[in-house]
Amino acid sequence: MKIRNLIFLLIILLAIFTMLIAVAELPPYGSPDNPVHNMVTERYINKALEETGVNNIVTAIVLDYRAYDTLFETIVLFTAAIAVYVTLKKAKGSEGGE
Amino acid sequence: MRDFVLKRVVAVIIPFISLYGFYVILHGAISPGGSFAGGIIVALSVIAFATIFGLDRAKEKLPEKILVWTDSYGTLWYVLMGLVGIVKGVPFLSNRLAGINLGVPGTLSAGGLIALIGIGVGIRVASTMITLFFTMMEEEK
Amino acid sequence: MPAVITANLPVFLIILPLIAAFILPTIARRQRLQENLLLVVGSLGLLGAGYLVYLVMHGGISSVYQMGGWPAPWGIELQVDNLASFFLLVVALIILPVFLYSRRNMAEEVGSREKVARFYVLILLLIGALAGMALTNDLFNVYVLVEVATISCVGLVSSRNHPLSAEAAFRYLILATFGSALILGGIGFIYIITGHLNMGFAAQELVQVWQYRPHVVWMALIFLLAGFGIKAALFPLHLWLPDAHSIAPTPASALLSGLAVKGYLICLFKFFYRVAVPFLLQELAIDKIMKWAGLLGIVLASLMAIRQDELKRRLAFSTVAQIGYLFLGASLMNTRGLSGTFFYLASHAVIKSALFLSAGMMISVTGKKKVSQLAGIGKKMPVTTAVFTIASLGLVGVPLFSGFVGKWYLLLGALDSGDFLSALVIIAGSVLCAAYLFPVVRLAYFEPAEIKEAQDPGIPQKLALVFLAVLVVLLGVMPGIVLELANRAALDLLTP
Repeated sequence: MKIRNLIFLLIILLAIFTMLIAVAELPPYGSPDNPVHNMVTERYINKALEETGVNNIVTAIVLDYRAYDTLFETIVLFTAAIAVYVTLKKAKGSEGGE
Repeated sequence: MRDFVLKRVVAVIIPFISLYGFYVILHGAISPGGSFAGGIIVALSVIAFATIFGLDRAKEKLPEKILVWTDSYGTLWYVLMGLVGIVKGVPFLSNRLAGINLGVPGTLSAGGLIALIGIGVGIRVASTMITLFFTMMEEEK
Repeated sequence: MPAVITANLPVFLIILPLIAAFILPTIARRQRLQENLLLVVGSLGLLGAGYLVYLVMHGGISSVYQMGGWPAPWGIELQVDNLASFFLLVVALIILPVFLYSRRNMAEEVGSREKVARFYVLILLLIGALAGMALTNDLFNVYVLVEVATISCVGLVSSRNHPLSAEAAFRYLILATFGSALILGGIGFIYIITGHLNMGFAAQELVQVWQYRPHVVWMALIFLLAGFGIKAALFPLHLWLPDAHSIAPTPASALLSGLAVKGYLICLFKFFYRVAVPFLLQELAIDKIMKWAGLLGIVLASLMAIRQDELKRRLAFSTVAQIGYLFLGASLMNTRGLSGTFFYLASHAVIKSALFLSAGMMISVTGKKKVSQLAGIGKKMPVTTAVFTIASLGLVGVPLFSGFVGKWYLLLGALDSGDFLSALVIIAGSVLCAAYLFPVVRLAYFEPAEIKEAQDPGIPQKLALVFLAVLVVLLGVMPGIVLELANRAALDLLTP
């Protein structure tokens, strides 16, 4: 048991180390010349009001530019409700046992 | 659960929570928040009622049948709004392209279909949260 | 056909199962209506997918569909290409027999009518998500679809009316959620260094920036490989699969083993070949990881399958082994290997659904779960056992059955890249596969019957099984259009 824990610890440390190397290479947080500040965000910020008629840019992106994603996000909720129903509603005559 | 003070306070406060939830849903286009946050606030008012007054009374007020319908048709509403674009001969989920009047920015009608979709999503989120809570409460018993 | 339908066909294929899923809970008590609705959805889906394949092969449809009319880097686009139409065709070919099979057959395994209706809803949502995965060309959209598919898969596993189903589903849920987190992390890394969510644009940026941030790219690809690897049961990450797939209701097992894991694989291939270029995978040694995981998976999972006495568990371990073939084929990085992978994906989808449906039918009729208890069933249930035999022959890769064509191309691909070890393992895998499937067939036909009363199922179930068996043979005798599509899809992915 002890040796197993030690091996797991080593694996975790290795994973943390590699991830830190990767994170150190990421662009600095909030810097204006980051790759994410490109033509995509520019158009969202400058044209959202004109193109969607909405002041709240977040809403403009969520419900207009990327409305297809939001459709599936609502479906995720729908799926979760159905899955919980299927799991927890007991069929008659099969009480207990879980 | 038989606390008099809690019951009185919750009875007074619930309508305001609901109202605030609908406010957040409707004002998604012009202020922070939106249909997801608003829907959860609406659901919270029902959940508060169910925790204080018991599941049975909550189910009397909001029968399972209604929840099933809002759950299903809330999302169907979203798809139907998307089909408006196809009917008008432009891609799925189009808004301005489909020739919808975008309304006056800063008012409740702003954004054309965005406002309508937002209401559907809000109701849907609320009913999902309530369904989840009811199903799990039933399991507890 | 009207231009509106032709132009929007991809969207209709995605929202058709979804709309049915939204209507079903409100008609939960009317069983006949539900089943007919499902059949309508299945047939319309097959028609639509077939027509889409025709349109794509003859260039009758634009290859990009812009959701909401927003052009690519701003909005979400669907890519209507050979890969998408190929996978949609596979999905449509499987769901029709699965719907036929579950006609008047689910109450015993799932429970009350309300639960059966929800079970159908979960299947429909899973299909909608798979159709979305086939078509999507957007990084974040992939994540959302993966979530829908994962939650509905977990729901399908836990819907079985069985004491152990909740436990299996819970383990699946924990691991699959961890996989989702890894996928989201990988997508986040790619987004933060490229600034795009559209696959095409992200790929353009990635080719330029990977030299400055190689560790980030490596990390992102490893996260994606591990995340999708958990969901698609890549060998060391398959721990949840045997329990989950063997405990799920039979139609759900067929769908999970046949289609759901393939959906995640298609997404992974899109990430690896469309966002990262093959050169990048080789540079960062991702292809080696895929290759070794595949090789180990083929051998070890097959050996584990031989040791299982429970029929459905044996089939579930077999799925892990066959997933190994797909990863191995994808790691070869040449056209024949990749087109072999795609064809094998289709053939395994058909074969594994046939195996699970026929095995589930034997188990539910006799009440016996173990291989050794099913002796002599061939005489009592001739049609079911015949279908099981045909599918076994297909999975082993006997010529004239569909598995052979896929394995042949994988073998050619391995030889093309001079990889004799892989070629050897591909052949050895077939032998191992025979070692765990043929004993079942031998027991069924050549042993004295222990089972007293058993007979073939009703007409819809028989139709479903025969449909799948015919597909297995058809794909082997004249692979024609499916192979052509697989070839084209592989070419699309490998030529940037």
